[in-house]
Amino acid sequence: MPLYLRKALQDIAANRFLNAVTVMTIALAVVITGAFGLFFINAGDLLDSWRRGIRLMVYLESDLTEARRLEIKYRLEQMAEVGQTRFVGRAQAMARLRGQMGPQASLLDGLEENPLPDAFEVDLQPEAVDADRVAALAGQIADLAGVEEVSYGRQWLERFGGLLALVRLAVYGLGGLFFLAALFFVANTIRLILYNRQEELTIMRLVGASERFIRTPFYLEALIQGAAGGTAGLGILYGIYLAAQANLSASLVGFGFAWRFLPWYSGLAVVAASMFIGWLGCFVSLRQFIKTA
Amino acid sequence: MTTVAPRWPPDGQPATDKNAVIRIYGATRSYGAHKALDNVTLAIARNAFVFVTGPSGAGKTTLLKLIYLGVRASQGQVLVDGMNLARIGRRRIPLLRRKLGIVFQDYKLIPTRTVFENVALVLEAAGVPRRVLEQKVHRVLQTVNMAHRREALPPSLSGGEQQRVAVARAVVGDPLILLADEPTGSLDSESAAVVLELIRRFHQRGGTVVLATHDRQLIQSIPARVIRLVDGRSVEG
Repeated sequence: MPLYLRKALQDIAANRFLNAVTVMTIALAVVITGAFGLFFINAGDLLDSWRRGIRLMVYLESDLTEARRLEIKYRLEQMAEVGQTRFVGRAQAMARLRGQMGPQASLLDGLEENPLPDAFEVDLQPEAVDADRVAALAGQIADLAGVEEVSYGRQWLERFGGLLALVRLAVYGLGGLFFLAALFFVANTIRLILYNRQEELTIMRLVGASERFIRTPFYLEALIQGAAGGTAGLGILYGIYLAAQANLSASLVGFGFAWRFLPWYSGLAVVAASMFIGWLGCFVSLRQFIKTA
Repeated sequence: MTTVAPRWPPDGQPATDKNAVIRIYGATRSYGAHKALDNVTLAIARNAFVFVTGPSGAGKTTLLKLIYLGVRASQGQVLVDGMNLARIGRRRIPLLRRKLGIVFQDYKLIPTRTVFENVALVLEAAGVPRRVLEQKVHRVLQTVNMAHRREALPPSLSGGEQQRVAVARAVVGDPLILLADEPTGSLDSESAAVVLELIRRFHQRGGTVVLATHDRQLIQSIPARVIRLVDGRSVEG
């Protein structure tokens, strides 16, 4: 084993408690930031899946002729953004409504006549689904002769998108905050270790050790701490993810939605960032220590 | 532009010893208003055995510190094996220290490292390959009769044993000069004799020894040059 690595591992073993605290701090920072990141990517996926499933309901004026209706269908299908169209007659719509209301469907028995209009259900091409284009398309369809109203979950779509932007901001903010917190802890742990070993460092200098010889094990130690903290944090996060997945998937059945963990490159980036925190913490305390010692 | 090499000795001053491995010229070291060393000039020849003596506070430790750059001279110059210490930057101090072996009264062993690791540190710092290092450390521990305690931690050793380990550490890198600051000051007479014998053997193999002590018995036990310091001034005697 290379000399410096052996020294670093010896130092870690000799300062187990302080090292464990640092590793846990980094792990905690990774778990908290990572949890938000995980929520962010999965919420993004969920939004996408809902968008893909979005439909326009095109309600028709009453008393349309068959020819008129066919023309509307033809015009809809000519539009580039439109996937499939299905006619939902008023009787069929009433049957659906009864199905959705379940036991309360008896309330509908009192109606003298079916108040629901005929409608077309319009699936969209997946690439057409963003809030602006959907709004434009809805306007275009509403202008067709014989169309009474076009409805879709516009506000809902926009709100959810806004929420997601907020979460993204929170991820960045928290990421930065925990980065600083972890840095602070790492720097202070290493400073504690340095004070602990001040005499040892003096002796090393007296026997002709260069600054590089003295410092390199500290840097390696910090990199190992970072890697261990990052990996432990990811491990804990994965555990939480599995538990949450088991509990939440049941309530999302039918959306055709699959939860996913951070992609591998994000995992690597997390570990790399943790190692960077370790290195930077070490750099900061060694600089201060050399100044004060 | 021509650069003038630093000249030794400075103009008008006679060379004290052509064969000197340590040359100190007009060295003063002040701590505030107090002068720990006051205009000391001396030369120590290669392979000399020199005692530096004097009462407590006379400047013995400060003189040794000037040689290993524990402190820098406030005035004057110190040359060790041709290196002008005034011109040595922080980064090159390790190069100076690898020419030196230092023994302290309080041993200065690392308490959390084994005897072997304490001695090996010198060679590790100098970049000696592992295999050579193990052989050298083993051999030097044998000469100080500490090979059987190589895995012991210093706090578990007696003072005499710790000082033997410290001497082993000081000589393992084959330094030019051994600096010893009251090396027997904390030891009983028997242990002191053993440590002194180890230092003598280093001298006999061609090393230069500068030993600071206020112990007259110790000085009388070896015929050697004695530099007396009184209030920071040197008086050969």
